[in-house]
Amino acid sequence: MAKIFTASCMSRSKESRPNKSKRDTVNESIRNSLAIYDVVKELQGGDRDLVRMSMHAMHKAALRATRSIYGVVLLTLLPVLGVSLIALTISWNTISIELYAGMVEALMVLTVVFQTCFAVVACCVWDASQFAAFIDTAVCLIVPFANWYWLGHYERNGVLAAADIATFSLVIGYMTARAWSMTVKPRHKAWRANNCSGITCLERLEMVWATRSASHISEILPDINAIWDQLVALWGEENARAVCRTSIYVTDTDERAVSLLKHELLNLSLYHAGCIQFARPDFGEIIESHSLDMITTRRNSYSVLAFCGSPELASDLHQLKINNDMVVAITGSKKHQTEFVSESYGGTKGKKTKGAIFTRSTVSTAVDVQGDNTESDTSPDPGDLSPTAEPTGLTSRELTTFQADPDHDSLSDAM
Amino acid sequence: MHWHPFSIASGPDASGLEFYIEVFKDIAWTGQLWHMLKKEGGNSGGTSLKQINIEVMGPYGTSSANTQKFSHALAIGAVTGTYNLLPIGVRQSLDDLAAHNLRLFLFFETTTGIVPALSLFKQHVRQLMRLDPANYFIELERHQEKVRRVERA
Repeated sequence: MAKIFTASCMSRSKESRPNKSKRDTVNESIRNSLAIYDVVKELQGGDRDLVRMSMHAMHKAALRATRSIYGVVLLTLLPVLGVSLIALTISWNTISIELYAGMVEALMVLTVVFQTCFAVVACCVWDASQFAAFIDTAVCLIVPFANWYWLGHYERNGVLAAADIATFSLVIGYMTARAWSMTVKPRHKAWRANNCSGITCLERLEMVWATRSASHISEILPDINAIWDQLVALWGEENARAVCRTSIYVTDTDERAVSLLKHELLNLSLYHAGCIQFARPDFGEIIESHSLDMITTRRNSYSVLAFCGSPELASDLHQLKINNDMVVAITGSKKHQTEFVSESYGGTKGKKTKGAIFTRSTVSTAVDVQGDNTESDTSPDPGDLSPTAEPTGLTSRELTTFQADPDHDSLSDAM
Repeated sequence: MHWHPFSIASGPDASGLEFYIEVFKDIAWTGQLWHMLKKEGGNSGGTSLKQINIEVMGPYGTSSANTQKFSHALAIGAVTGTYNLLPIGVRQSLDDLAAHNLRLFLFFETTTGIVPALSLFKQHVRQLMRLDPANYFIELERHQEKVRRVERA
């Protein structure tokens, strides 16, 4: 209750602090929503009234966030109605038998309903900044006169002429096609940097690696560090951090291995930059921080949350992502979308594997499949990110200087 | 020797295929592979490695590296022993790789959940290395301004 009250007070005190930046305001709004959500989760099963009251607020906010989804579902009726209208009009106006009373009226009523719905969504819902919006407006202005013309034909002749049927099909067909295209178009707006060089790339990649094995870090981190150093050399550290971030969490319980790893990492720039932490990662906070960063620094974004790991952790992350999506939607930041991609090919985690033996020495080999083991291979282009830039042929390097504990579980999860 | 699934650690545009493979006991597949390459490579200084016939099937499975439509990526790797599946399918022999000027790196280390994220990381940095950092942020800001103008309109 205190948390909710505090959150409410924070919201109310917004006016009393007019010098707050937009970033602070958005941050505060999101934190408040999160606080309410946490309290509701904590109190479920406890104070029912308080939960009910808070849940009501949450449901109200969630309904607001999901309203657009209901709108899309309703919008699917428009193309169906349009196709039905065209089919009925062609059928009833070309059939040889006389039409029953009321059929023409029903057709015209349905036509007007369809056109009205189209006009409403075209003017009030769809993006008006596109060229097609002008055509929509023009069509909406024309159709009342067209309806009057077709109704006159019905009254005079009983049916439409072939040219009128074609015109009717053209107008309603356009509306149907437009409604269909707007219904099925992706709701996510990708924002991509199209550079003058024609290369499109992510604006920023954040790589998070959590592992329980210090020896894995010892083996792979030098490669990551080498790639990072190449990027820093070309872009500078500040710019490199703006476009690429790395966080590595080591949760190895073997103190000796961790100690030796720390000693090994002393020469790596990533370690000095604070990218390596010897603690458990809080994935919820990582996802939340990413969204917060997007909301406060960008107008729109389309992020991918790519995960590779155990199915259990994938499920947890998915849940965290959904929670985060809800908060983002509730706070009105619908222009910041996130998609979740998970790879869990390893199956479920089983018992600890015994007897896994690490090979201490590491050999990096490059098999030149063309057989031209020339000097040119050793001078990679700027895009060549192979950490083993030196080899073709066989080279060996000792990346690991410590002996792992034989009982150390090399296959354990990071979590 | 038989087919074995591994994650490809190199980015999609890389000129070589890189694998991170954890070597287990001698009787294990990875152990035998390790000894074979060590023996062949050690005896000939690496030149006889070219004689080893290696076939690569795939890649298969989900490609998390397909990031073209996204503006940002948060790649999380955790857990050991995850693989991009390489099931039975089209076989791409080493000769095919040669025809495409690809080099095959056999990097005997560990197979971990970081590999797909690492692949993404390498791909991203590879693309960044081709860009001019001075112009990159200017273009970025210019595009943002364009988005703002469209929204205002």
